[in-house]
Order: sequence, then C-alpha cells, then structure tokens
Amino acid sequence: MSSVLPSSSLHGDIQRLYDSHHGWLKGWLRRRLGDRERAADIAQDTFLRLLVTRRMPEHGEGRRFLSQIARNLVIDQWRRQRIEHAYLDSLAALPEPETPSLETRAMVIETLLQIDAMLDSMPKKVREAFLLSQFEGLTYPQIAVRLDVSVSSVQKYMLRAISACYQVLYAE
Amino acid sequence: MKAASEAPIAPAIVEQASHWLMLQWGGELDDEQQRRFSEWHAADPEHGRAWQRLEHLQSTLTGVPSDTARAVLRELPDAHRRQTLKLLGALLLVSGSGYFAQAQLPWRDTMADLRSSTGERLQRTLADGSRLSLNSASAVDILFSMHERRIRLLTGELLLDSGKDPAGRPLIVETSAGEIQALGTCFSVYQRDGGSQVELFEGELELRPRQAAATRLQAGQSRWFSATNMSEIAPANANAIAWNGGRLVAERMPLGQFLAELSRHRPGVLRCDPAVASLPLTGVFPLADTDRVLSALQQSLPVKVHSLTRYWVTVGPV
Repeated sequence: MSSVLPSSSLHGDIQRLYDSHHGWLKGWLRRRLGDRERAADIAQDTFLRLLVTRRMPEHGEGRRFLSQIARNLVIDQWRRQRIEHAYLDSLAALPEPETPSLETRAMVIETLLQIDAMLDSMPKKVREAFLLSQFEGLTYPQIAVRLDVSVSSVQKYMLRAISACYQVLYAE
Repeated sequence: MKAASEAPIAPAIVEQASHWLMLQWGGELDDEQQRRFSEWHAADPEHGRAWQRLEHLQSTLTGVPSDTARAVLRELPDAHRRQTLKLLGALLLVSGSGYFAQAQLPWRDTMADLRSSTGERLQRTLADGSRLSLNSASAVDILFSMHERRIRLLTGELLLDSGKDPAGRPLIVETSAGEIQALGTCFSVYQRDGGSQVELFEGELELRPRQAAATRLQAGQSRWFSATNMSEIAPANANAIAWNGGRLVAERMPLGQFLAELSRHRPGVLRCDPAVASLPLTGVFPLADTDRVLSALQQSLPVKVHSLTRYWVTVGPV
C-alpha cells in the first residue's frame, strides 16, 4: 500500500499530498478530537512523520494513509498522557520533601513509557509473572504459587519477558 | 532507546544471555553456576556485548522506584488495554489499508463523540428526545442520519430511554457483538466478557448478533450475547442501572462481584482475596466516593482493606 521513495522525488510528492489533503486532515482531526489547536498540531506532525519515515501512499490511498498515521500519533499521545497522569497522581501521595525534581520526573516518565511498551508486548501471564518478580520482589516459587503454575513455567515466562524487553530496547 | 551505533547480536547469543539473567533474577547463582556463567561471559566478545545490553535493560527496570512503577503501570490493569495495544501492533502492519477493527480500543474512545472517564457518569438528551446515560469509563459514537438513529457503544455501558422519533427512524445500538434495535423502550447495554449484556425495562427489543439469528427480548428480560452466542433469558435486574442515580445497589451480592463492579468506578487495581470473595453483601453505596465505600465495608463485613497506594487496594480477611 505504500512505498519508500528516494528523497529527491519525496518532497514533491509530500508537497502534492499536503496541498490536496492537509485541510481535510485538519478538519477530520478537529471533528474527532474537538480541539482545533491539537488537530492542527497532529496534522502537522503527520506530514513530518511522512518526511522522516519516507513512506508514501499509493495513488488514491492518500487520505486513508494520512488518517492512519494521525491515529497512531493520537494513540502515542494518549499513552503518554495516561502515564504522565498516573505518575503525577502517584506523586501527589508523597510527602513534600520526597517530591522529585522536574528533571527526575521527565526521566522517570520516559522510563515508564519504555517499561509500559515492554509490558504491552507480553502475554498476560508473562506480564503478571514479570511484574511480581520485578516490582513486588517475589521469588519464582512464590510467583508459581500466586499464578498456580510450576516453577519451571515461571522460568519460561521470565525468559519470554526478558525477550519482550529486549525487543523494545534493541529491536533490529 | 535503540543503540544505533551497535550492530545486531545473533539471536542465539541473546537467548543464552537471557537465560543467565533469568537465573540471576530467580536468586543467587551457586558456585558451580557462577563459574559456568564466568566461562560463558569470557568465551566470546559477543557474549559480553549481549550481557551489557541486558545490564542496560536491568538498569532501565530499576530506573523507577518500584512503588511508582506499581502505581503507574498497573493503573489500568486489565488485559483489555494490553489486548488493544497488541491489536494496534497488527494494525500497524496493515498500515495504509485503511482497515480499523471495530473493537473496544481506548484510542477510539478518545476520539468518540461522547465519553465518560473512570468514576464519571454522563447524561445527555439526544436530538430525537431520547435520554442517553453513560456509566463510568464508557464511550459512544452518535450517528444519526436520514434513515436511522444509530448509537455505537465503543466501550462500557449505556442506558437508553428512547424517544419517539417524528421521522419514524429506527433506533439502533451497535456493539462489537451485533445490533440491538429498540422498539420504543428503556434498556441498558453493558460491554462485558466479549459480548453485550442487555437489560430491558420497558417495551421490546430485537437483538441481532453479527453472526447468528436475530431474536426478540420482552420487557423485564435480560440477555447476554456475543457475535455468535447467546445466554439464556434471565429477569432484568433494575439494580444493574442504579449507577444512573450515582449508586451501586447490592442484594446479597458476593463481595468479589461487588468489588469488580466498584472497580469500574475507580482507577487502579482493586483486588479481592478469594477467601472473602463469596461473603454476601447488601446495601446501597454512593459511587461518588469509592474510598468511603471501601472503608465502610470493614464495618459491615469481617474484612480488612489494604491500600498499598490509592491505585493498589486489596480486600482480604481480617
């Protein structure tokens, strides 16, 4: 449905795509999001993404292609907002002196996004075992009891979890 | 973060390294294991490189205090959200085909016509005079045309008291399971267990599963259906829509079921210890303050509420 183009012809194609669909995309996003400014930002980012990935739609597929990219951008934002929101809520529970600096917060949010992406790529039981091991400090035998499986299953889950994490960090 | 400067490492080597990490996470290596690990590590520079990556992975995981990680990452705990993102992965592969699953996707909800967040309930009067209520964490698209009045339930639960349309257009609720056509009625639809739970209080409905024969439902009946299956008909439960008045009504409801219901109205994990899950509970509870409901449980039942954080609550025996 799409093809990678050399950059020389890319700019002309993006220009044409921009001229014929930018207004439409902005309107489409505005209707969906109910927010004019955000719609304009995401429409802009959508074309930016085209430039970066150098992928272009087939003839006649322009709007579908653009709206797909725009949707993905909205999803990314949605994930980030959800993480940020939950993180700030968790900070609200802390006493004042323990509140981390803005810089630390930004780093923690980036890391949380990465871990969240790792969790997303794990099947349910694997994720459960991984969370219990890494964030609740349970041993494999304890996890086995909790999940009602054998210790060797827990070991298999953990291997799959490590592999999922690795993919997120080093996917080639 | 992709380390762009580094070349890929052979999958077999990554697998060996992962195995060692898995063993380390499981506890201290004994002397024999430790010796074999050192040998493996020294045997090939690629082994060392793979191990370095896994150490980086480990430092990523420990880069967040674990109570923060627990609170944030389990904030939306159900498999459903994860399922969604997996689905999205598949969507990326068909990028450009323009196909979008009609599943319960959170991002669809963020772009829905009307949605409620967790703990919020909404009421709207639609253009035809129908009254639409949304329960916590629900989303609908409202698609009225010349020929029909269609409400697409993307996720959650709605209650519809349908108005009489002057133009005589049919009123249809669409879900992932199929369509429900209202014939002058008051009914609720709740998306659960991969299907739609329909409670009918007035009038008549036609249930149209996507891949099974249509059937009718009479006032006072309820039925769950998916694209291919239907449950037996059961009596409609008026308590099921108490949320519309901001209440949760339990009549000898098992505690486990009650907490599952309550958790729809608050963010985070709300767990019920199996030891107390079958305790029967009766009462009328305000949804506006779920923390208070939880602490009230301790007075009426032999249970203790453990709150690790506001997002991580377990109800267990005293």
